[in-house]
Amino acid sequence: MRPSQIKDQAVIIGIGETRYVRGTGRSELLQILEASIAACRDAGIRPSEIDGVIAPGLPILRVEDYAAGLNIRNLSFSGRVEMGGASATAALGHAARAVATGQAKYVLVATGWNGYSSMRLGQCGDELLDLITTIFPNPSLRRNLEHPYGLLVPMQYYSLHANRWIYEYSLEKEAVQAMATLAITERKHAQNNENALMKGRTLTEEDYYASPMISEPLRLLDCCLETDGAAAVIVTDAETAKSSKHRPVYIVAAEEGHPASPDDIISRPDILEMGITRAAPRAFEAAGLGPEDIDFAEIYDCFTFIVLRQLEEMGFCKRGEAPIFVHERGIGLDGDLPVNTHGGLLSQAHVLGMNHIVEAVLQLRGEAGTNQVSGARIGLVTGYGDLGDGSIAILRN
Amino acid sequence: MATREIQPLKPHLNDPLFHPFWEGAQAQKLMLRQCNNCKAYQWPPRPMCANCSGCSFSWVEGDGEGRVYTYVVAHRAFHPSFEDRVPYILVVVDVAPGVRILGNLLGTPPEKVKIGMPVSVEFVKQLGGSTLVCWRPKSE
Ligand SMILES: [Zn+2]
Repeated sequence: MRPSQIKDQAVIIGIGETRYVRGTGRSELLQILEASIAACRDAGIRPSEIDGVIAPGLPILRVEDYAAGLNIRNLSFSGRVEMGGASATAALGHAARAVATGQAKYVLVATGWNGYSSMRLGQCGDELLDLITTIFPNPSLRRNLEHPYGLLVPMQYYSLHANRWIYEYSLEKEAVQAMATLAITERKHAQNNENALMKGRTLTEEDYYASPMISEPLRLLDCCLETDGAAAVIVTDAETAKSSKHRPVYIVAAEEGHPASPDDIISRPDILEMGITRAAPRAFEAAGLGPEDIDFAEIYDCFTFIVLRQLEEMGFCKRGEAPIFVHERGIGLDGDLPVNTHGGLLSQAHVLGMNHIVEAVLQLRGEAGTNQVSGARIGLVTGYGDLGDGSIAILRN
Repeated sequence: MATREIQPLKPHLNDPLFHPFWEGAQAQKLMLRQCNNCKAYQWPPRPMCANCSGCSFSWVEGDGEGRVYTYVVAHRAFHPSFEDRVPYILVVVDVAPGVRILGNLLGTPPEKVKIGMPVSVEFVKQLGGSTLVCWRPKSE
């Protein structure tokens, strides 16, 4: 398959975030609109100038809700992406292609949810069942072959993947150590982020190992946060971006991928294969770059181990070698590959990966504050979700 | 205060794609779906055969033996009906070419579950009358 050619034709010119909180009386839509307005202000455009809208993430809101809420009158491009946590970065690709072909001039990509106040994945009961049958594909398969046995929440599905990985590469100790390192590293990054839920709450190795086992091998501290909030970006073409007050952040490549039996992780011939296994080579080829060119990576981290697996599938190291990579190369700010410099879904907030894109833009503008990766030129963002879908974007300044 | 028994999560027996599977389980049989055209097993049940696009199927009885491809030990209940069962074990079992089936592993402490272990099917009656397809380590 030929990778799509959008190289350097699209620019992220605006970013916006709400305050990330645990507990809000505000609707998802209101927060998404607020983040969108912030992104417009950052981009120096009026909301009415938006002519493209993509709604990634959970199937709870429609493009019409965004358009009506922002009073967008001249919408010429719209779409909804339903790849769970892979949606935001996949949507960035759609936005880039829309502005590169001239279908739209300013595309808004915005999402958010009340993952704490109303859609808690960590709860226990019938409301959770309604929620998971809404967010996962193929509810009849779920209700028949999985729910009666107690396979219910994302972390249980992904533990099936984690345990097979640990088995195939004999990583009983190494995987868990690397998972702990990742959780601790992201928590460290969150200490310098004013909009991180876990700012002020440090995490030690002792804390990690003391946290309760939820779904072996995943402990509570391997899991993303339950938070409320929204984030947004505005994408335009490279020509229009020339008048922007910001240092331009180019979308070099953005690809999505879907694994075999995309709605059924159990029947996947090789459970270690993910959407990003297919998307990453296309993205690197389109960009004319390789993993060695990446200065930092904001990797979708709904659970610690999936960050390690994505590093392997993207080619930063071989399968089974992510624990060695983390240990020897380093994923902190002083490491070879700083990962999740904002604190990620584990320690900043769970904004369906939109916050990863926002952080990558801040890094490439040189506006990431204390956590700025010095000399950052090329960054990578990924998405993961919906039982294994993947997305990847390579950005540069 | 009257205590109400917590209902388990029941399979949807009236779903035509899955009905013969559950009917088989009720009769202590592990039923698998096979394409009438190319004879490949078709799993999980879907409207169309992934191998040949055929859409006519038969249900055939499997031998009820398999090996654990992967597993998870659930330490937290996400539905009240599992609260008195944690930790419980879920195994994914390779039962025939292209057929992997999930079920609970019975009679095994969590630390004894191993990928690759041979298991045999065991039918377990749920509260409310449905029969689930579960697994037990194969006796030597
Ligand atoms: Zn067939």
